[in-house]
Amino acid sequence: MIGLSHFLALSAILFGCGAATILTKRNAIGILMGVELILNAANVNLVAFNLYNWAGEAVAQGAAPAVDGLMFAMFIIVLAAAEAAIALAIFLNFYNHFSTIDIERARMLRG
Amino acid sequence: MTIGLPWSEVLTLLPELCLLAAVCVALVAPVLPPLRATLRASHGPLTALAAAALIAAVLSAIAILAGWGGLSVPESTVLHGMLAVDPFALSVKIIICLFTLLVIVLWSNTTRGSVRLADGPDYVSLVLSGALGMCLMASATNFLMVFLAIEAASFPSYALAGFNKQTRRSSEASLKYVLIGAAASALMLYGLSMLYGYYGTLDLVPIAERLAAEGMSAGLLMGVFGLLIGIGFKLSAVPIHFWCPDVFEGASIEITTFLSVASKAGAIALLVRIMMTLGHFSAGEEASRILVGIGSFVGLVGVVTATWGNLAAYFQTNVKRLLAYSSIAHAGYMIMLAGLLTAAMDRAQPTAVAYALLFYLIVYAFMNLGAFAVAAVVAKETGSESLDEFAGLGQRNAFLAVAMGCFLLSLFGMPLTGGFWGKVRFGFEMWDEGMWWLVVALIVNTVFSLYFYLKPIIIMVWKQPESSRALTMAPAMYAVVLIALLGVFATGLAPDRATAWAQRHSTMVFTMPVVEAEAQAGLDEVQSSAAATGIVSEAGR
Repeated sequence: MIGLSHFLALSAILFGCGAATILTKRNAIGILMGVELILNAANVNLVAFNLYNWAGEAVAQGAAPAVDGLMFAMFIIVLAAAEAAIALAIFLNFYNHFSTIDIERARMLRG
Repeated sequence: MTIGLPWSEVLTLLPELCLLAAVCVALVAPVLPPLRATLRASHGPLTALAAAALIAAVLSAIAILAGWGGLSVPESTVLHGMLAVDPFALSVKIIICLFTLLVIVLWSNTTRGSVRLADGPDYVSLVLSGALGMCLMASATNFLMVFLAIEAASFPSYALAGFNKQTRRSSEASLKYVLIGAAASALMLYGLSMLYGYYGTLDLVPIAERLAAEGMSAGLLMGVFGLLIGIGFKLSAVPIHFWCPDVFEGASIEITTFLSVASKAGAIALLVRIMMTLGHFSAGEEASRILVGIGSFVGLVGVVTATWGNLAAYFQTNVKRLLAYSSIAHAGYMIMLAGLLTAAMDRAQPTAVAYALLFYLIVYAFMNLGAFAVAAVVAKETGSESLDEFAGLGQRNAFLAVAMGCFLLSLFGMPLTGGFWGKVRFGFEMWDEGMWWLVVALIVNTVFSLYFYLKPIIIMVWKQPESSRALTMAPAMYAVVLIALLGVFATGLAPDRATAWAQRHSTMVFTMPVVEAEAQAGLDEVQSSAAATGIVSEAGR
């Protein structure tokens, strides 16, 4: 039987992969992919917690199943798409100036 | 339970609705053929639209506070607990919208030429939607709303930082901004998902109540950690501050001004609301120990942030970068104060802390606006943002030099200026709560900061300029600098008015004494009317 802990383990692995990607990648799109992995880890958490912990409890109390977690996950999906759109536009602009999206090259501003 | 929203609740969001309407107009107008030609001809109509929307937002916030036209401050949270529209939130919104208005004036008189006419509508809609997100940050009481508000403030900021597509610096600034921002918001979400898993709700108040009843939990720790990362990013707190100088240097100067005050005002209001709610409901011994821990941690973050900002500012030669580090330091002072809200709550007077902060925000808005406005004029006239361009400013334009001196001294905290009273009040609050180490940090940091605030002044007075051509500026810029000067001295020489205003507007939805009094009055009324009907029915019998 697949329980909550399986989902939490999956999300922890996703989070670990995402954090490792952000810390090691030097390519801007690679970093964005790491961010998306962490966002998906949060989504898995929210949906699993909603299903195992809270939806049933609300039903037991005679209310409609709680959907807060599901709703939050939907918002995250939409905003992740918006964030990716803005980030890619900015990467393209950076590419036009530097002919690369290696963040090591972004070193004009420092001090 | 009734389905649907009462108009009274929707109308409490009038300031946001004004901004939203203007964003929609700015987005749709260029598509309509009759308007397209007008918009392509000049930036004038769009500037007017933005100014009108911001003025309408400020007026509607004032109307809600003053109770004009049937509007009133709601007694509880609105939209099913998503937003709190209380005096504190409304006054932060007034500060944000007024500040954005002055930024628009600044833009239209200095750097407007760098925005192409075809891009004007996008620019205006981005600025206004950023202001909308920042207003929502001041109101959010539900973590879903917190997340949405932070993102609604961030996305336009990323785009605005890189709006000047022709410059390499600007593209680099926006790249750093968007990457760090995306990573910070992802970490924040992971923390929030744990918070939801543990408490089963995203509303701030039930979480605070359960914290008070049950004490520590792993979910709470991860949630607080995530939230601190998300809000700390917006406030440029150490260790996620390093985007701030780069973005401030790379972005156009009016955007830098906008981000340095409006964005931080929204974020600090959000931090204060969260800390205050957590502190307000704490009762048990166990809960208060955790809260003292959280508060001390936040205070420590503030100390590190302020110290870092002040030390790093020593080596700066670019005026925007210098002011960026200065704004990091000021964010640090405000974070230190926010830490008080839960760190010492047996003796805490949360409202006093909130009003000290509100007063500081007003002063900070004026002095930063002034400093950036002078920097914008000098940068426009000389074509460079280096501190060396300030050489001999005293001879080239005495008014600008004197004004800049006043703003820098106020940022330092010189007596007679508003900055002094802001810091003194912070010190008193910290001392009252028994957090002497915060007071020491505040004083030491203020002394540190003297050197780099004096550096531009010394350059202005003693260094010989390369050219002695007089600097000219538009009348509207005179007005902006004068407003900022007036603000700095009005809060410095006669702080009582601003203090009284801040004091009256520092109540939050659950600390409103008025609500309890009114609820009590309502109860009395019900009882007396019940008694009256009883008497009547007895008499009838």
